[in-house]
Amino acid sequence: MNKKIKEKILKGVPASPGIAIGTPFNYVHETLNVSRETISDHEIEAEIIKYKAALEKTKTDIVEDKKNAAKRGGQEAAKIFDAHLLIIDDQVLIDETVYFISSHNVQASYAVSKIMKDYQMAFEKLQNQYFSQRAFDIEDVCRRIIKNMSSELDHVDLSTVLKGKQIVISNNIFPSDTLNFNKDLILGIVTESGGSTSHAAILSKSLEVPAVVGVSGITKYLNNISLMIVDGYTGKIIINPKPSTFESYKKRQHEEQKQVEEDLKYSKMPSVTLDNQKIKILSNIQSTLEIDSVIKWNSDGVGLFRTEFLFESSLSVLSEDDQFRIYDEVSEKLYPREVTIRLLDIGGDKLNDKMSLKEDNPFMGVRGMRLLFDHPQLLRSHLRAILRASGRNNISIIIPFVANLSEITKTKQLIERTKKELASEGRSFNNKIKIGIMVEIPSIVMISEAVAEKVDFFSIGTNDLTQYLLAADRGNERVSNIYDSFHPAVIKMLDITVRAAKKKHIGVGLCGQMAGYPIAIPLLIGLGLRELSVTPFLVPVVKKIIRRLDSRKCRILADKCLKVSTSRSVSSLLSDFFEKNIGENPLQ
Amino acid sequence: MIVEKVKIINSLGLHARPAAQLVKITTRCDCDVFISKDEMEVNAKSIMGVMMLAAEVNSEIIIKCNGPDENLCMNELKELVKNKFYEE
Repeated sequence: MNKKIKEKILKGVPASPGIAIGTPFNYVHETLNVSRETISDHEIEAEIIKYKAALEKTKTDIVEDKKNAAKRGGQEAAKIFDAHLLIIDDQVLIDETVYFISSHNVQASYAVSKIMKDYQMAFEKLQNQYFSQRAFDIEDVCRRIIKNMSSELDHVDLSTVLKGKQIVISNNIFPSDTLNFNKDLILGIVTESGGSTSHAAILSKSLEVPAVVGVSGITKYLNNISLMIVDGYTGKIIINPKPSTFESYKKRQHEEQKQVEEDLKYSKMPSVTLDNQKIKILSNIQSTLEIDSVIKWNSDGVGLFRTEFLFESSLSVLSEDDQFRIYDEVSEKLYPREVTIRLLDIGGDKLNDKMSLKEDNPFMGVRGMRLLFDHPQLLRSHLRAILRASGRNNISIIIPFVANLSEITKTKQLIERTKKELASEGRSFNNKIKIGIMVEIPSIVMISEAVAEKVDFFSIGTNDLTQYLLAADRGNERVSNIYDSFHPAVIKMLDITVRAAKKKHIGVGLCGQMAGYPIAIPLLIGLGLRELSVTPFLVPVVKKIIRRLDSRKCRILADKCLKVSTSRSVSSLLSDFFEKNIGENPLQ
Repeated sequence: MIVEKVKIINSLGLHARPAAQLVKITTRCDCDVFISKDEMEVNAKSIMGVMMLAAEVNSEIIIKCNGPDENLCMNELKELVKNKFYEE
């Protein structure tokens, strides 16, 4: 072990942007290998008492964590602990454990770990993702019980064990770890498992520390790392960097720090162009954990609250009241800023439902409103919760994934019906709540004038619009050369949509990735967009560009882009304009 | 002992909260309660067990109650399932 290895690059999924350079801290949750110790008959009772005491202690701990989580991370984080309380109260599990201790003459910690592993294995085998994911929850709860019984498996308190600020390396981060993490303690987070919506990814984003998840093999190198670099932009992990790599990253990190200071300065300035056009810069969020970032970066509000993550991360599918508390929290904390909530936009593969058979082409199958119409109860509780939280008049609704007018009319009727229902119950809500749609299916663009008469605003989703317009799956690497948001056809679609909105006097914003591409921003302003929604930390970057633009020059640029016929021509027009008017590209 | 087949009709199936509702009833009853689906049978007084069935909408489960209050228990459980766990 401890053999120094040469520079090595591992690749993972970028989860939170930034560069971290430092030493690794081993936060790997050891596989629970509690060794079996035989105990004599007269020790059995003492072990059972110890076990029951640990149960009580763990229960108190979880209740405490739940309270802190509600304070720090919001209702949504607290919800996970509710489920853990159900598990710890499982009488059959308790009886099984007690019986195992007394019938096998083993110590309590072994019994807990043995039974936990049996359950885990059974859960992991389940086909349905919702149920198989519960293996993590059982593991988390059992680890806590065992920790509370033994002195060896100490609870790691990061504030006491870290050698200065370090990069935390873990196989997986559990909900119960959350409260242990603090921006002042850690440089970055790297995990072996997990994807861009894993608990680790959301946590690191809310802490604003660089993170890369799903780095397979990282834990194997732990003992051989003397220094490492985490590149949260590209998902690269560089182990024992060469002096030249180290220097170049050090430089980038330095520039980044300067950038952050400058960004903070910019975030306090008004978002107006040189010719005094006010541009709203909103944020895309998917969790209440991101509220603080919205405020910190002085965003004008939330242009897109993706509700999918709430449902995917929660152990229970959320009830109406659970949802209400989350939407109410976002509305309250961000008031008077606006909050635009997009109705649940998931594919059938995500819902725990046998009815949604596996589809060959889920991106064109039952997703968004198509799925919600199939689940009237789910849609009803979703709408009730949003409306109930709308009393401050800062919430609006986006209808996702619509291809024709009838879907819009149907959703609006359901919203009206829900309002009547709430009114008859004497509940308060915003009777004039604004309803918009995602413009992401090309058919809607082609009939956008007619659609504009039915809704209060358009929100353009460029990622899906590009994918559906060019018939190129954005997740498929083999067609990534075709998937191109600068395709002149995409630009024309944006132009048609914005013109229709202006003609019918409704709002129009853009919430796709395109709003975060620096070189695309002059084009978007030129096309007439005055609302852009981006990841919270990009707000100052966008603002900085906007403050250097003259919207009239942008209009000329847009007109030029609308006349060319290749993406290459669009790109070169945009780059030239950027170089002349903005100078350096703030995102490199 | 009484045995009955019941169809799960709430759209999300026996996920955590419905499972908790079900266990609340079974643990209150004196009789033994077992539920099976396909090849698997679990003790219905355990939330972990009930969730392990991974019973989705439209799946059929078999409830077995055995003990002094078996009729009462079965009726309550059927009522719960029929009313979609009072969630929808």
